[in-house]
Amino acid sequence: MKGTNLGEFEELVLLAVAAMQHEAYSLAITKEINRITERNITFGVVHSALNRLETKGFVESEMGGATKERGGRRKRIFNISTEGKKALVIVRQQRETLWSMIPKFVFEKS
Amino acid sequence: MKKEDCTPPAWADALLEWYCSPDLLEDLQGDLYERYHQHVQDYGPFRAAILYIWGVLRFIRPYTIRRRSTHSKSKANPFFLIPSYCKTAYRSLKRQQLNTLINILGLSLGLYSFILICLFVNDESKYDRYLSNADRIYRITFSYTSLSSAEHSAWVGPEVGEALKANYPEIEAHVALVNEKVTVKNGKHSFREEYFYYSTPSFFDVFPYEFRSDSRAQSFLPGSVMLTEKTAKKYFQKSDPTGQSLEIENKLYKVAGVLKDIPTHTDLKFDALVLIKPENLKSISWWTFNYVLFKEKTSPQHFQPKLNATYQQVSAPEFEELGIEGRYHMEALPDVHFGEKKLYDTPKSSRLNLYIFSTVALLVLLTAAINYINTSLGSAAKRQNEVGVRKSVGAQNGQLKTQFLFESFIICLSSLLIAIVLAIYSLPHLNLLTQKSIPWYEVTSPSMLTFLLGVTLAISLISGSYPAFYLSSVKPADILKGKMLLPGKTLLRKTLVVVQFSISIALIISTLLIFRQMELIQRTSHGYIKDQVIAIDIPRERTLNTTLHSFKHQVETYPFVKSASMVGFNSWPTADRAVEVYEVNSNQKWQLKPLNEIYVDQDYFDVLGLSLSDGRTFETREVREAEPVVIVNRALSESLAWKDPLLQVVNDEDGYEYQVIGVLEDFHFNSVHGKVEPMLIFPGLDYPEKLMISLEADDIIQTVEHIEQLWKESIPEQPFVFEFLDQYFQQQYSHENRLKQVFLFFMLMAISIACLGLFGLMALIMNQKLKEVSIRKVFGADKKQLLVALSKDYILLILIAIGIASPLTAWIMDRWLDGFAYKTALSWDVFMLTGALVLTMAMITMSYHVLKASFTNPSSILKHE
Repeated sequence: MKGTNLGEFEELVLLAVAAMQHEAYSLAITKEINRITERNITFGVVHSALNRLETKGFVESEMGGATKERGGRRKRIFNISTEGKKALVIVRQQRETLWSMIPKFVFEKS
Repeated sequence: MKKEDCTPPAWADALLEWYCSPDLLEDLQGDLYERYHQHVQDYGPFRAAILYIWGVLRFIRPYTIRRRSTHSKSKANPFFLIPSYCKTAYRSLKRQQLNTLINILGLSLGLYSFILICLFVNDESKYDRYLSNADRIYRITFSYTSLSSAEHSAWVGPEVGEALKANYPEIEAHVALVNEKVTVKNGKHSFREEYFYYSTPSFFDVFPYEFRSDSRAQSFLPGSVMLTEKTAKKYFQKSDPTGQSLEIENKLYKVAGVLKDIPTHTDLKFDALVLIKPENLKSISWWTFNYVLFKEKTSPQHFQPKLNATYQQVSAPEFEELGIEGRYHMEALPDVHFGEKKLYDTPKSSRLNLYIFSTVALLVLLTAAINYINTSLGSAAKRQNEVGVRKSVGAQNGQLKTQFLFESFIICLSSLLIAIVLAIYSLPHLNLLTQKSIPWYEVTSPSMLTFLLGVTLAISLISGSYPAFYLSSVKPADILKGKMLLPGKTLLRKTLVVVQFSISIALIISTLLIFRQMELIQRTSHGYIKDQVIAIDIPRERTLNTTLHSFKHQVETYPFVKSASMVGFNSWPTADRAVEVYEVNSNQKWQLKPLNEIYVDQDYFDVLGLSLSDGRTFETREVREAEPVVIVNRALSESLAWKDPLLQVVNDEDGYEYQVIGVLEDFHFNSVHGKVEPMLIFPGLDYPEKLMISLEADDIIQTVEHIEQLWKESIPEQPFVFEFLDQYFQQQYSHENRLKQVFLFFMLMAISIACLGLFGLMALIMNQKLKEVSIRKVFGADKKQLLVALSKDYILLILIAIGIASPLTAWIMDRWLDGFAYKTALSWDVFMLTGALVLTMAMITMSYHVLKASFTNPSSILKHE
């Protein structure tokens, strides 16, 4: 259905949320994605992606602990929802189907 | 600075907090902070700050922006709380019945006086504006210098208008008007008419008054008369007057049309217009009201040079010969009502008075508003618990403010309703006092109501905003912990009390001084006897002269009549002055001077009880033959520095010489507002205007009836019209008398409102101080000590108010008194009296509450602890 499909970047963010468990708040997620993908994604892009994911129901958020360098403000910790898990599984299956369709020689030749 | 202590720029933070929706704000700001601190570590504080600002700006996106309508603040429509506000307001007003009563009473009195002033001002501003071309009509007036002062006359010769019309194309029309008292006869009925105006047929070119539809005049011919509906009814009852004739001053005029009754908002009130040929106007009066109508799209304000040129051309040669230097002026019709009062002018209003009345009304209203603020502050202690609870269950500042403002609006609105009812009921009295006829529905006219609602809204904002903003800003935790309100508010409350009492004191002092001045004027000897003197109107018909003399003789022989005197044009005291040019000798130099003159007979001095300082009065022969003799008053003799007045002569314009035979002690021919004017008194009675009769004190009514009987026997065809001289006299001071009454009214309003306020305030304070009173009583304080201890603060405030208001009022009243030639002194007793009065009132108010508090049993209060 329209509006609930998962974009490439959203998938990346959702994977990061699932991977980071209780440490998944927007700034940390940005750092993690940048470290793994070696890209230079800005914090604002991640923040808005998280916001979209939440409206789509793929992630849930709760307020976490505050630290001194945050000026006493709490973090918003994101958790992947069942919907999100389903979406990730579907995406993965779709990819694996596509992978299995690739003839072996494609990779051998290279 | 250590790197950990750096903080991002505050304004960027504020920007973020402002635009970001509240449910995203906390973590977003936290993330930005965290990133900022990372940046400080990596790049240093400056670059980190830049990046922070950049970050804040980058986050301005559709999803982060706060949407007022979608967030918790007001999910429902803004009117949803109104029933709740009503309920709360009702409860709190009911709980504080005394305060509510005092507030509503005070505000209704304040608004009531305000409405009355508005009606008055509104009515005054309507004068002479109702004609469609009113702004193009101008009146020509004439100023010149006389011996004693500069004069300004509302009359000019009719030739001025004619010359203007003939010479300048921008003048569309002109008309001259003369107001004369005339005798009007229709068959057997005859009346003396005061408001019949002689005019020329061009009247309707200038003043487009409307005719009654069934009797429109077909032509405006000389020799016809136009009646107003009222006058038509008076002379012809129900029959159609058109075409019938009316006898005015023994000449027949044909009624050519009936005009709709003219509006009351004009100073040029006429009952009928007698149209005559322009050239015949001068046979009635040399001096007339002159009106000109400018054509549309001309600029009358640039016309003055042409007016000066006309003066040079038409009038200057004649006047210069008489030694008069004069100048014509123009006055737009709508400005005439408020203009400076001139000689022979129509009735006027005073703009100064309007300002005074409006200021006083506003002050009274202010006093009432202060009451409201004070009592709300006084009861704030009670209300703060309510506010604390409301806040802790989720009421927001805005809602609390609205609640308090709503409450004050309800109070103001109920006061307005009461004030409107009061105003409608007392309107007849106002009309009587101001000689107006304002209909009751003026009070509820849409524009008036809108204005009053606006004022009410403003007052409720002013009086409700302090409690609203103050109370809604307190922290719920502080209140619920039982912390008392900040001490700062006592200062405000005290300041307000001082302002309030200063206003009351200023009004009392002004009123007392106005009363003093009035008393002084009425006590000041005018130099003549004004009581028990009547003045009978005499028709201007020379054929009657012999009959009149025999009538006068008959009156004089009646035992209850002291004496009687026949007098000429404007020759009775309080009349307007009549001015002519004479040649007089001063310090060996002959000069032409405009001087006041009167024409009287030999008995004038007896009737008015005037005495001579030198010489003698007229002999009967001198009056009968109009011999060339003259009596001058002392003011004239002194201003010309005559050493031996009885050797002097006075020449008139035609070169006739009049021998001075006596010097009269000064008397105030006009009001005591000004100094005594120089005056010439001539013998001779070609044109008598009034018969003045001085009566014995006992049984005046019977004497007057007898005189009327005599009149009907000898001059049956003329109506008997008379007035008492002291009535004229009273009319002359009606302005001051009115001022006096209006001030008395406002003073009473202001004092009662201020005392009401003090009463309410003391009730609240005593309530809070019950514990103090009880402890003092336990330690043995008696009632006197309690009274001193509890009221000394407020007594001090009133003393401060006296100290502020007295010099200020003294200064203002000194200005006002400058308008009088004889003025009362600003003596200390007025101020002392006012101070004593206010202090007594305040003491009475306060001691009620102090005594009430002191009668309570201390144990019943203290055992709660």
